[in-house]
Amino acid sequence: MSLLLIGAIIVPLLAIPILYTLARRLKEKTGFVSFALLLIPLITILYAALQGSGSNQGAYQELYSWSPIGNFGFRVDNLSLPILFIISLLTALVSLFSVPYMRQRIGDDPGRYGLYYSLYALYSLGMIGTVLATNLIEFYLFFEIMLVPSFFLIAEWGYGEKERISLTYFIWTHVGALVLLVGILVTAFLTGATDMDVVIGNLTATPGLISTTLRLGIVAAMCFGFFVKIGQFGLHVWLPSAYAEAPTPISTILAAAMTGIGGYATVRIVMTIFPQSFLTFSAFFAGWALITMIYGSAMALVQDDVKRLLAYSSISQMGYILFGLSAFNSFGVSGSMFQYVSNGTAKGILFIVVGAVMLQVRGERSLSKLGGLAGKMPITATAAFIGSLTLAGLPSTNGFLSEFFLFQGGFVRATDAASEYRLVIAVLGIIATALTAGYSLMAMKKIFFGAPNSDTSDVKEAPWTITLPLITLSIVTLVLGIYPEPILGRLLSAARAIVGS
Amino acid sequence: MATSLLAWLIWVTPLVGALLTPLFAKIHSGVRDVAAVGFTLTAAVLATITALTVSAGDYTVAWIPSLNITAGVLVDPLSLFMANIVAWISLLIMIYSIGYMKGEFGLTRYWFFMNLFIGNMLLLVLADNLLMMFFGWEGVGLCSYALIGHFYRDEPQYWVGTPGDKALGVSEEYSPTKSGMKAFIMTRIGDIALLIAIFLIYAFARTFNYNQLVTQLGGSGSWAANLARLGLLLPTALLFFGGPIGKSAQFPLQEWLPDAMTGPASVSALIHAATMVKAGVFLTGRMGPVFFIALSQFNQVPQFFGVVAWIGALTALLAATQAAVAREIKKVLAYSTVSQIGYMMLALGLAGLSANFLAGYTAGLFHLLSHAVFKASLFLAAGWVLHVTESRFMDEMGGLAKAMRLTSASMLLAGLSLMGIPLFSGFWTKDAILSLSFLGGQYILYGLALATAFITGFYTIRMLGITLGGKPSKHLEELMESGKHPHEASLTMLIPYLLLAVGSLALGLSYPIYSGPLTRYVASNFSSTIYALPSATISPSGFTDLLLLSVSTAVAIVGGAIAYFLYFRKSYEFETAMNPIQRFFWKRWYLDAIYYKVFVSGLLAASRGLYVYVEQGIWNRLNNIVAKDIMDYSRASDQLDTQVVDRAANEVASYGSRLSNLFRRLQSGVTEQYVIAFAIGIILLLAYMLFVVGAT
Repeated sequence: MSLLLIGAIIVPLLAIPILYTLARRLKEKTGFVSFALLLIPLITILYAALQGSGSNQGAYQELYSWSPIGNFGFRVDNLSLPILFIISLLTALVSLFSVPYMRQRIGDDPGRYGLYYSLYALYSLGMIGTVLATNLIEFYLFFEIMLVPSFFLIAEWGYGEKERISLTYFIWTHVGALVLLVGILVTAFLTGATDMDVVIGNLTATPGLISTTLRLGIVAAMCFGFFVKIGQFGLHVWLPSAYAEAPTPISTILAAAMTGIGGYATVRIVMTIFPQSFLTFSAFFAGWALITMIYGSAMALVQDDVKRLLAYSSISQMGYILFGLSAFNSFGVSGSMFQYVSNGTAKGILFIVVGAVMLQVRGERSLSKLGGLAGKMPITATAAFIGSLTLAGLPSTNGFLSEFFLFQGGFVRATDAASEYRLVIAVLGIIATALTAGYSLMAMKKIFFGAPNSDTSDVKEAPWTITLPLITLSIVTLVLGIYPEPILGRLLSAARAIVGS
Repeated sequence: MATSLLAWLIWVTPLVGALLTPLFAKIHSGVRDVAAVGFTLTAAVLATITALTVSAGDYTVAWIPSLNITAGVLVDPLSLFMANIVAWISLLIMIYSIGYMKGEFGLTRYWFFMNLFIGNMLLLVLADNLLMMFFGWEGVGLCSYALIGHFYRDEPQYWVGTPGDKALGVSEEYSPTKSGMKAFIMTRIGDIALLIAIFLIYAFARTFNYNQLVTQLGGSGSWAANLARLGLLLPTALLFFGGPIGKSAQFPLQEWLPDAMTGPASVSALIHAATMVKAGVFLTGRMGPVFFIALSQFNQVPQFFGVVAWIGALTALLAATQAAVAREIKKVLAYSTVSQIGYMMLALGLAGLSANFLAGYTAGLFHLLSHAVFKASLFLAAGWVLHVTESRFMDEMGGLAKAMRLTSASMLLAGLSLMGIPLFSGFWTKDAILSLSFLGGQYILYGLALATAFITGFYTIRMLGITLGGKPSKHLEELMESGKHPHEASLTMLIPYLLLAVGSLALGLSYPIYSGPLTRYVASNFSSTIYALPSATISPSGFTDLLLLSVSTAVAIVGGAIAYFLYFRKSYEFETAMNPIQRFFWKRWYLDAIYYKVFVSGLLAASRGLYVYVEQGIWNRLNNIVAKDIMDYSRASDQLDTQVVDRAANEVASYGSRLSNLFRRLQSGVTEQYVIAFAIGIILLLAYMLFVVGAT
């Protein structure tokens, strides 16, 4: 019995008291310890995946009895590995980024560092647990654990009207999660199981356990919960403020790692357990996704606050994820999950870049007041360039291949079904990518190009704790953009198992 | 396999060179410059060796095995023809850059993107499938963005356009970063059309590979038949052509190229002669035959190739009229490129419209070759002219012929080739296109092309007359008084453009010798099994041919003669007062301004409206109401927010850093208590599961 995956949970858990105690002595340098500790889940998860390679879906799992509910299990497989890779990589790297950033935000108070890093470790625990979970109730628990620390992190160290914003964030996602819970409980009650595998087994054996109509209701409830998380149009109101006003390291995690988990969960739970019901909704979802894509991009285009711009960009990117899922074929689903990875690297880079700029330019985040930083911060500018190109979906970045395959999925769905509606949605969707290129290049121009102004003339390059994460993420982006097979191959095989080829 | 490695290295070498540039820069700037040129030289030599030694074929390796997608290099006459042009012209431009860019800022970045540009162009030319081609395709777009905006600080001397000039209230002045962005976004629109076409093709073909696309063309289950069944075959072909329209700056996406002159002249030369804009012509050449076969099964050939030809002819004329009134020398050349690419597109369109596919096809490709040579020469020479006169406006030049004889001679030779004067390469290749349109019975297209030839003669001589002829302008005299006299360029700059100008003449003189073999070489693509195309040779009667030659030459000369009397004799002053026609041309047919109003101002206004009325007006208001209610409620009931949030913050702050005992630590705030209690709870839960219940 190896304790690899539970280790990925226990390590951040043990990190909480360790970091809390150490912070008294280390202050902002606690971030280095946090970095080291949060690298461990990355390693154990990769090692677990290695153990699982060769088995069906590359799955490796650990089940712990959780009677009478079922099993408290952890599984890494082709679908979850890419997601876990991004989450654990980002949480580790952002620990480093937090060092200078929170130093500026917190100042000299050691107790506050302890609180920050403990909450941070708990937050990463929540995300990793959510993705590893094999049981619906367990999933829900981790899903909520993810919410609580992020709420406090925003409320404590956010900007602007942080109390109101964090509360809105909490309430929206919490209500979403409760609706999700209703779906979970109904499913569990009717199938008599909470372990996802057992639920699927029972439903396959006796499809009559849940009627088709009720299935639609359950799917609607679950999707509501997840779509709040990914901020689909109409359910997005909490998102821009939360991402924009959170302390930037937390914005990074929110936008790059957490949001997309809603997309992952849609695949893992909804599409796996109720594929046909999801398919019933899929044409509607495609339209909804399109509106979200365009709306998010249009909003991003007119923002002056660069963090708010990135927040709206996240909404738009999550629209792409839902669009891919709505295609309901292996291209769309794998492209969509690959988009999670691309968005993780792109948003990771860009939020860290914004943090670096805010740190070096006295907290400035207004596009109209920045400018000319390319010569002052060459590494940050290069990373920002790579991040923008990933967002815009340019080849050689993973953003291109993920968007390529998810749109390919949309077109395959449209031609397979000979559906004009689907074709129009797919065409409009890809036209909307021009908006992404527009706002990302515009932001690049306004921050980095032109002549330095009086605010930006004495700026220096960000410290290595910021440039190292930027360089790492840029390398990941480019490597996966040129050689996607390690991620795409896994995702394709996972997607084929769920929606057929 | 061993020899096919050479073909791979053609495009890999410059890319590796780009990546190594920052490292070489660390050693010494001289090492960096020489190495950068060295990598391009290697690519050029490899391209030639490959053409001579490697047998045609598709050399693949695994890329995305889970989708059976391979990466590969397609060695065939078309790819090698292009690769050699691209690599050798690029090499001359790189050599020129050593002298031209000396002392400029951002040189490491410059060399990086130049080699990246060349590598991506070679990649797109040599790729054996659409996906890999698209990497190169977008790669050149990216590099052009970076190089057009090379002077990213936007100093006024790097702008294009006349200060204060507006059309419909839209500024016609462009800063480097603005025009870089414009180029990127505008070509991107074409690329989106191209992508849609690729998606549609792949949805049925399930391959990106060119050869497989061709071999899968037959039968009722082919991708083409499936697309045709949905009525999507012709739209797919047209959307595919959208990519070339954007990249090659054809109507209606031609507007990015004239403003792309903000980069260094060497960059303009690279974009216009060797890379970027030629990509569109190449891709039309690559997939044109495939669509020809596909569409011919459903009798849709004339529709597609008609669009190609008409867009080409229309663009040729439209851009030529703008060149005829332009004020900046690089802008004349830019409009001229748009116009000349229009000729190439016309030729490729005529390939499908006339009985002889091959004739139009080779006419287009040969014109690409001759244009690459004379346009590179013109741009490089113009770069030097800009440098010595310290101005981008032609009316601030004048009388340069005396001081710069070699440069002037070079510009004259290349200019005559552009005009299509007999004995120069431009003469043969342009005339082939004009003859083809006439003999193919496309008289309106012929008329458009002939009108273009007339204006081309006019603007070429006008440009030469204003800059080289007459007396030095006031600006130039002031420069000379301050001791800055026009002089010849150093050899690293002079030799490249002189060589290209002489080369243009040599290509023209030897055209009768090499045109036959080269046609057969390109045609060998089609004699192989995959591209079985009609290739009956046109044999016009000697008399018709001669007549057509004389007509096209005559109009060019007449156009030139008019310009000679207007501009060589008199000194030229830029007048803001223009007659309506001139104004219409000067304002770029108002297209630029209209696009800006619709697609930039319009889009931003729409987004802003959406933001104000929907996002803030509906969603945020709703959200605020809900949030306010909840907060009021919680304040009233248990003061949740102050208890949980504010108090935590205040208390922690007030207790400060030295909390020595556990009791006070727990007192330090609700948040911390919460976290600790939460953590302990989870630890206990896990411990219970692991050690009490035991693992299953």
